[in-house]
Amino acid sequence: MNLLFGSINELTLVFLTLLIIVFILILLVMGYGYRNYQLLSSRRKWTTLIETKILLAILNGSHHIQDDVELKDLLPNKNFRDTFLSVLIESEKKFSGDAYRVLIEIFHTLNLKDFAWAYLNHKDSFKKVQGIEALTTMRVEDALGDIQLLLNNPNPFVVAEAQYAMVRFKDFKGLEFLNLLHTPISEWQQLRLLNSISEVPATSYSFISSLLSHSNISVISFVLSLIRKFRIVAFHDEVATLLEHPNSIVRILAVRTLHDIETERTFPLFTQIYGQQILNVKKAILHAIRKSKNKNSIDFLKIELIEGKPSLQIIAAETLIEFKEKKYLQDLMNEEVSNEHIHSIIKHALAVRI
Amino acid sequence: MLVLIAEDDELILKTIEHKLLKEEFEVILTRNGKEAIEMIIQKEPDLVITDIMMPFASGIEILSAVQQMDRPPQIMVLSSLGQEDVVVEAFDLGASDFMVKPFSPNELIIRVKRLIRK
Repeated sequence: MNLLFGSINELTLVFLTLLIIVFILILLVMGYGYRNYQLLSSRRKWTTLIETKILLAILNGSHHIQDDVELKDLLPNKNFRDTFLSVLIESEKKFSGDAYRVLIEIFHTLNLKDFAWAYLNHKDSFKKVQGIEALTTMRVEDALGDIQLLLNNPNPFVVAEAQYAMVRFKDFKGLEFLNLLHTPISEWQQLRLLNSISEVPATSYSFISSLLSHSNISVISFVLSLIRKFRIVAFHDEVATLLEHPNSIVRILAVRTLHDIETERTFPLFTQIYGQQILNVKKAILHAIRKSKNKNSIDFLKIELIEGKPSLQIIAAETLIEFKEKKYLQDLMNEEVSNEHIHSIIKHALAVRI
Repeated sequence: MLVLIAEDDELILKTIEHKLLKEEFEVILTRNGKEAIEMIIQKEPDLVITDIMMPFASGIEILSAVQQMDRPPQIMVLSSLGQEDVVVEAFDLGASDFMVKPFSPNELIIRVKRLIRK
């Protein structure tokens, strides 16, 4: 009997302990949630306040911001400074000219530079990214050396932000990191870098040339985009050599680039290498011919319509219609009564184009 | 001169508003495309400054709606980098001018004055 009561007491004790632990956990979760809610609501309130201060500074100049009592009270708060930095970075995406200069003045007047530096040296990668972004946006040139060191950081997000910073600070010259880059650059990152480059100096052509034979495919892809963006016809022949690159993606991008920097040599080059290419490269070539509206290609297209694979025949037929060869196709339909396949391809192309 | 601003970003909206008020324009603020279309039809402003991407109706939808009016106002479009195709579409639909964000508020005022003079 005593044994039974003893076990019941022990069980009750265990149950109560568990209950208390669960209760404490619930309290902790609720406390954490409440704290986050409060922070979120403070951040919302602060964002409105900061935007008002920025607005006033844009309209009336930033000289009063240093003596602003509200800001003086709030700036010692780490979370407020963090919000201020985020709002400033966001605002840089909205304003240029004098308004942008005011944003930089605010950044320096309120000593947010030190805060951004602290982020840059933080061990948390997310904070590092924020630090790079802030120092770059606010054009803190002294930070360039430290940011450059982060190009070799093990975290890919830190590396991507450091690469972007290099280009934003140094324009085309910031691309020097590509020389030693062995990791792929994402398409998004390529786009960001490309958008930040305002000019390609003629003195940099040998550098571009060396990048075209890079072992990293994404670097070649990026450089081809650069050639397309700035329509650098001087690279026509070098890009043409990429039509023999072992990677078919590079060959497709080379076709697109050649189309954008087209010369009288481009079309003969396409027909010359066409036969040795895989289907997707052939498609890219036919699309390039279609976009270039090169009437010299009509005979080539007529052959492809008869001899090509079905997907190529369709592009060839559609291109011939665009090149005003509808009559030829209709005659072909009448002649080739025995070839049902060509018949249906021409019918399809006519239906699509009409 | 009455100018309607359609923009969902509060800081941009207020900055343009204050800059225009300083230049003695009358200003109407709208924060989404649907509200903008209603106000344009109701108030018949001389100029509309509209963001391309907005909730409920885009800048393009505003342009299409405005073209149905007897006396459509001049439209200035605010776009972001990478929206070149939409800007071309906006011009096809009758936009008079465009600015790419980030933009200079001072330059915007100069362009507004030039459009109004036309």
